[in-house]
This record gives sequence, C-alpha cells and structure tokens, in this order.
Amino acid sequence: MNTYRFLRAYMAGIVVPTIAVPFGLVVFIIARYGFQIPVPIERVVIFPMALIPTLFGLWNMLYARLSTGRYLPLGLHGALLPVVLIPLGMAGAVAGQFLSLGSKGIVWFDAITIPYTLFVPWIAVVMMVYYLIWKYLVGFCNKILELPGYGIRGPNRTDPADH
Amino acid sequence: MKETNDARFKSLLKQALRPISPELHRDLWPQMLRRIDECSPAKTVPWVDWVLLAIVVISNLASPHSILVLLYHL
Repeated sequence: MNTYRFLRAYMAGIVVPTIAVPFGLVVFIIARYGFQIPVPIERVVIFPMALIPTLFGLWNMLYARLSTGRYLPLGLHGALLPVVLIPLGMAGAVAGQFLSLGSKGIVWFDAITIPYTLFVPWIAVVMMVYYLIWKYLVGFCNKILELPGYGIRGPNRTDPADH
Repeated sequence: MKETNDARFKSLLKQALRPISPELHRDLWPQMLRRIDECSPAKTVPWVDWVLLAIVVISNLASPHSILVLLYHL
C-alpha cells in the first residue's frame, strides 16, 4: 500500500492530538472553575485546538518524507517538534496576553510562574513527553495505516520506533 | 419474438455472471482485530522509556501547576 503516503501520514499524525484536546480542555475547565486559576480558556484553547493537530500531521508528513532514507527514529523526530511548538505557543500566549516575563520567571495565565532556571529542564520534560507520545502512539497509528517502514506487510525494514 | 430474445438474453447473462450474494463471505472484524494486534506497541518497553516516564510524572507531581503549561503545548 504505497498510495497517498503523505495523506495517510497526515491522518496518522492528527489522531493523537485530536483525541487528547477535549481531555486537555476538561483539565483547563476544572482548573478555571474548580480551582479558580484565572485561565482565559477562550484565548488559551485556540493554540491547542487549531494548530497542534495540524502541526502533528505536518510533522508526520515530514517524517514520511525523510524516513525513506537514513533518518532518526520516530520518537526522536517527535521529540524535536517542541523546538517548533514552544516558540509558537509562547508567541501565541504573548499575543493572547496570558504570558509575561516577570522578575523571577515566565508568568503563565497570571498565576503560574516557571522560574528562568527551570525553563530548560521544563523544555526537556516537554521533549520527553513528545518522545514517548510519538514513539508509542503516533508509531502505532503509522503502523495501522501501513506507512513505509511501519507496514505490517510493508518493505523489509526494521521498525525505527523500536530503536 | 422480442420477448423470446429477452428471455434468452437473461438466461445467458445469468450463466455468464456469478450469483451475487449480498452477505459478506467472511466476517471482517476478526481480521481487523488481528491487524490491530499485530500493530500493537512493543510488548517490552525499554527501561529508558520507563525512566523518561518516571521523570515526567515526578516533575509534574513536584510542580502540579506546570501541568497546565505542559497541556497547553500538547
């Protein structure tokens, strides 16, 4: 099955964030109305709902293109996505006026301060989450849709996700 | 004459074409289940991945507020 490879890669990529977004939204609503954290939900949800599934799909299309030759395993490819996402997300947050630079650190939602010293470890944690999501969940979707290197009846390549 | 031709034509068509059954010849669901099973994630998860998962969980427990910021980027 080698037709519409990029379309299948896009479809496999958007599955995980599309399923996850409503659950994330529930957490934001609980935080806003349950714990009274002043999260401006209507501005916050734009970035996760509109951009992240699309970026996942496009990132998986990029992987489908690059993985035909020698390339990184899928998990590491996914771990690089925050390098693009975090600046975009922060730019969106600044535009939405729920991120500011304080004297002690980066202030999110006027309530959550991430100290500057913890910013790099926090990025590392985000990359770890992405590594695991891409290796196991997106990799599973890629296998189901028989993308090259993943197809159960595909070419005799070892599965990059298993490395 | 025309009716005779039609009847003969029908008979020839029936002989030429295999009967079409509206029922499926086999149940496709077991095949789908087998495929999902074949595609399931690795049975043995490397210890490195467990360590990464533990780091993520511990860091979120240590700073529960940062979960919102993490979710914003997921």
